[in-house]
Amino acid sequence: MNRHRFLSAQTRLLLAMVLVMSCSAYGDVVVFGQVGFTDEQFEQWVFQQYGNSTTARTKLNESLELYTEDVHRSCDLSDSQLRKLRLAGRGDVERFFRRFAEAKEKFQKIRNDQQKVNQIWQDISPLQMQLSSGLFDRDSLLQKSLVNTINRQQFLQYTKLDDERRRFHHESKIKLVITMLDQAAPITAEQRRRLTELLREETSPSRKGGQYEYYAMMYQVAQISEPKLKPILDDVQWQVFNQQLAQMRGMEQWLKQNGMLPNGDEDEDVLLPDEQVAAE
Amino acid sequence: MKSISSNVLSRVRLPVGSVSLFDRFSCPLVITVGLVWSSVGLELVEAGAKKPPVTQEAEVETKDTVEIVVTVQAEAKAIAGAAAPAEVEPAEKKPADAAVKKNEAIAVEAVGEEVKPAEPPRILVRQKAAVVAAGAAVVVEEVGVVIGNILGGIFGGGGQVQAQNGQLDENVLKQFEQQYGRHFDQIVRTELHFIRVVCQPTRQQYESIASDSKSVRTKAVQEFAMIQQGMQRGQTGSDNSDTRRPVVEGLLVSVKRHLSPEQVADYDREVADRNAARKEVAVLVTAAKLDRKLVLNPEQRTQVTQLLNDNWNESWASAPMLMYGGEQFPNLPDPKLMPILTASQKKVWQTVAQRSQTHWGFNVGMIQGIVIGEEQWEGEPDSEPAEATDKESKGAVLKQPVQAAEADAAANREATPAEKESK
Repeated sequence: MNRHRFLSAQTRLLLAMVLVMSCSAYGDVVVFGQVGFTDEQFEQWVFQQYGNSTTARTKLNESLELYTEDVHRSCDLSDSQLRKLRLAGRGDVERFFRRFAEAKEKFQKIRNDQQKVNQIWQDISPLQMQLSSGLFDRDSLLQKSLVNTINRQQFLQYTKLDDERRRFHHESKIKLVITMLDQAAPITAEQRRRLTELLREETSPSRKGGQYEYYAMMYQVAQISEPKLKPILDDVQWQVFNQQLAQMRGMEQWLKQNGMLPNGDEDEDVLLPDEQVAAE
Repeated sequence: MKSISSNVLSRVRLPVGSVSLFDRFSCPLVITVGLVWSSVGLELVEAGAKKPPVTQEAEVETKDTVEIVVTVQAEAKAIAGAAAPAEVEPAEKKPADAAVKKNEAIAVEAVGEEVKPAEPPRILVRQKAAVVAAGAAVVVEEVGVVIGNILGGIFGGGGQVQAQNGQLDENVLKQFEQQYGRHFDQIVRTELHFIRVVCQPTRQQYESIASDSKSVRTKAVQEFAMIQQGMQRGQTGSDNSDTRRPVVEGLLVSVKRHLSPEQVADYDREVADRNAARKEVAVLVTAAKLDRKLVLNPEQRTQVTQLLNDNWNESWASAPMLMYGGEQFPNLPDPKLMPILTASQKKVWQTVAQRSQTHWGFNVGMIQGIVIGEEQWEGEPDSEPAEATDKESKGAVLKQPVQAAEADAAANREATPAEKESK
């Protein structure tokens, strides 16, 4: 019980020094005042909740399985079609890990240089974003290969279900944005209804999902012209809303960089399933 | 439970420099925390060593502490099924004596033993168990206070912690006020404006409610500061993260006092609509997140939405989780969810390990930093007319369509109890 009495101040100091030296030697974290980062740290930065590349790969493969199952459920794919889709999906996973490998290679060259390590975040951020929004979105090989893999009937069936899903997500984001605005400056039920209608008319589903989808929607709301939006609100509500929307207007570049908005350099020649149907 | 800063802005990734700085200092930080923790351990050992025997418990000074200790003892006795009257008798008479006697009587009655305080206590096995349990409970309480003191010192700027259980530390309150005070000002300000929009009060009525709002704000701040204090002391985060709720509840009382039943009903209805919308969005967003994760079919989406509606939990409406929690899910009722999923979906869902592990802090919305002007009463003289008859003198400067639509109804409202009284 009284063991602590044997630990004098000197002993505690000595223990602390030993602890610091052990940590330095073990983790190679502190090397004579110079910062060094490990591969594990880099993987942690990129894969965040997944922790490392191995776990991330497993999760992505599981996710691919869910996507192909979903297409199979809606289109009743043949074995050959299913194989092709899985192959395309694996291509998306490999493409992602190629980008990861390139970023990691860059990192390994500069891991001891604090200034340059900061720059590596330019490569990490899009990877994080892609991981968060999912690899099998509209720009994925899997989605694009659908055009050449399934027949017209399957195509129509899939497009119908995919549209339904996108509308569901879009509706949830519309209501989330209105609720957030409502929390900042409460609005009446009637105002809520009118805002919902306006946002349904004036916004479209995000290109990608994930944790930044909310910002993409807020950005779209910020693009709605004042004569349409302002009459729904009173002066105080407008004052609060407008300040929030003004902040969002400044996020265009960031959203483009992270693929949440079209940045103008997409391959427009490739028609996605729903676009092809619309064109027909 | 992992605690995350309550400010929603904290969910935005740290700037590059700060991330690197954190990593640079993470090792020393860990070591410092380790050393502090070691000190905590030593303090705890010391506390244990110096722990007075249970018979000295009555020497504690405050009434509240006496009550807590007495309660702990009574509960311990009840659990162990025996009473030890000689050991719980305070040395000096305290206000809680009656409670002591009552609790003892209940405990004794529960075990069916007659207690004779004049006789030396017969230490039976059950009585020993009661003493040990009571002692252990008090030690646990002291340990809590020691940890609370140290954490309070760390997080509260080194101030002296005054509180025992159930009391709010002034330092925590001060810190909370500093961090969130302006946010609560804005909430009160916007809610008062909302009352004006919905209920169309006269200026006099409005000012009466605005006057009441000061104490409403104080209580709301104290409530959430208390939650924050609990979290700092290692308690789990509260499910109640909606900082507007206590303000609305408090103002509703004031509205009832100053406005007509019709106006009260209008406000009540709007608040109910708002809460319903809040629930709807939480259900929808959570279902959409599940869909994103598990690739549900339309039928599953409907079933999941229904499931969330039927098993609604207020904590699911945490705004930061809805806005940013891409991979974060609330603690959903798995036994009901699993039967809806396919085998592959079940496999993925079972590996979503972050459910309910994160406390997202208080829902401060996006109001911080936004400037809101004072309430305008255009066209109305400073002093309230003796009798308000038209919509202008009712205090509504209705420049906007929504207000205009509600103006006519406001003009025909019955006089409020306060107005009747003044007449």
